[in-house]
Amino acid sequence: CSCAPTHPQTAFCNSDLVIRAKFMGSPEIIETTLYQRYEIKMTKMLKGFDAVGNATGFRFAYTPAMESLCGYVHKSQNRSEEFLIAGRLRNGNLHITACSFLVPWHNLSPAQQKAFVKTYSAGCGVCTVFPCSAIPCKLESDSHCLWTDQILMGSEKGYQSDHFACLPRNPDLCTWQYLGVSMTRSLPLAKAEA
Amino acid sequence: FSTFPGSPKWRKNHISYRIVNYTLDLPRESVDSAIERALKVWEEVTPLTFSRISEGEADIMISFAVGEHGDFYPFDGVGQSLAHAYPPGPGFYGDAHFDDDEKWSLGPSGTNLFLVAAHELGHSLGLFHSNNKESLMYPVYRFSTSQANIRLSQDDIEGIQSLYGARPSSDATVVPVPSVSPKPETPVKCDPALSFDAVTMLRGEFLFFKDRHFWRRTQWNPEPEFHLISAFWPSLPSGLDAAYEANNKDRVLIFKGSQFWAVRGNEVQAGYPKRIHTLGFPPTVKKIDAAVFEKEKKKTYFFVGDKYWRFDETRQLMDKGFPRLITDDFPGIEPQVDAVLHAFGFFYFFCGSSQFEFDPNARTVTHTLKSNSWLLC
Repeated sequence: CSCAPTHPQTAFCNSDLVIRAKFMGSPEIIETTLYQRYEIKMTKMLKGFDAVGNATGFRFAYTPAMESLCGYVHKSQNRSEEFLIAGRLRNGNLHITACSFLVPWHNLSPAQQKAFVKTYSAGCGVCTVFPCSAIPCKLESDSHCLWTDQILMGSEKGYQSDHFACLPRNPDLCTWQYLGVSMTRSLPLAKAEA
Repeated sequence: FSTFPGSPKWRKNHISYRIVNYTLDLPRESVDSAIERALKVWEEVTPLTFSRISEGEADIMISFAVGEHGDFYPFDGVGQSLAHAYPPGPGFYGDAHFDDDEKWSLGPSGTNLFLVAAHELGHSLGLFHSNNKESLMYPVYRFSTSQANIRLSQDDIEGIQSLYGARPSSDATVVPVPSVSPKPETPVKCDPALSFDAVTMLRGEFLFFKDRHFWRRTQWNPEPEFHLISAFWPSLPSGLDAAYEANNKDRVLIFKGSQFWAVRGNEVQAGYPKRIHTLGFPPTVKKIDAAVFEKEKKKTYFFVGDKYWRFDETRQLMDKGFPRLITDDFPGIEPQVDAVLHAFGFFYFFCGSSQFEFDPNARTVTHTLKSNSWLLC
């Protein structure tokens, strides 16, 4: 399994479902389909209300049983730790993979937390985070924002991931915008998570 | 590194593969060559060999697909998962699938097929993901500018050799990296007891070899870099005996036991290892202690025990009248030298933790130093 490095905004936009949830234990293998599932406890839904309809939430997260087939392996033993899960909806079930954006909620920067709740959605379908994988790289469209974390920071978790979203500035133009307090809203930073 | 549960592996060393279909992003020949190069990465450090078949069932079936594609693991459009592969076994096991919603490329833009293929084929051979970010088996794709000469990390090499062993050399007594030997300790550059296995120049840089590692001292950076030998030359053994640069040919020759390799930059040259006896040593010589090239005279000196030989690089022949005793021509130098360097008109002889600067004109030792004096201690 090979995963593309993903900016959190791209993860948010490309996912059907974005939730906060706790993992309740070890995965159980579902032998007939070569999948396994983790029991989860959803604490908050951030994206996918339409998809879910009247359902109260998800009890399981499904993933391929094998890591080389992009199966997700949950390493934390801590059942009270809350995770941000950006997944896909298939046959009414939440599916996650090794390539899903899936991190402890409290490891996200306050700016990212706020953006998952509110800001990233403004860029979905309009703006594209465009990864620069080698210098020189250039934008292919005015709706692209050049993402240089991997090449400049050596990791996909860099400054643009932690503090910026690619958002429309005016019609047909997207730019990186700082996810600080002085943005469109004026919430106290530490309490930014809704 | 890690392997699959139960450590599945191919129970044979010759493995067939077939490229079932092609992406439209690249010419077919480019896909063929990217896959071939990706397999070569693993071939170089294992006894495995690969051959391509064009029809029927191969061990490793390679295909491009989008979305749902006949297994239970549909691809997910652009981004996220780029490819997946099955561990060794019959049927679909061993197969590698590439998400054709990605834009496959050979260069830096898009998704580099060679890099992803080298990773996926690692799965096809039995390797799981590694947590080590430098490892090829780390799951997050990252373009690297040196992709033409991909460097397996030590972690990758140890992983694949734990399954298949190292690549056998033509001389059965020399095993490049024994896969189960305990890890030697990492040498410390300013350890006063530090000795070297071999020392050479390479394109103006100084290389100091010790066990599995070497220090690289460049002109631009006085602080020496420290690397694994395998990170630069995956097929070279550790614990070298001798090395010298024939810089008139841009080659470094590396000796261990009765074999030697020629490297050019970070490429090991085809046709190596060769036996040292092809250079003109008698059968009684089983290994070489040290070697050094004197570029003014285009001669190479080989030190073995208390003797030395002189090799004419122009004629590619041993000079007549050798071996001679080291003490006769290099008074003050004891037998059994570890390494020799020729620089600034002097010979530097490394013997254990001591180093002797020898002036060939005055035929005398002019300075005694610590071996690691070059490493900025």
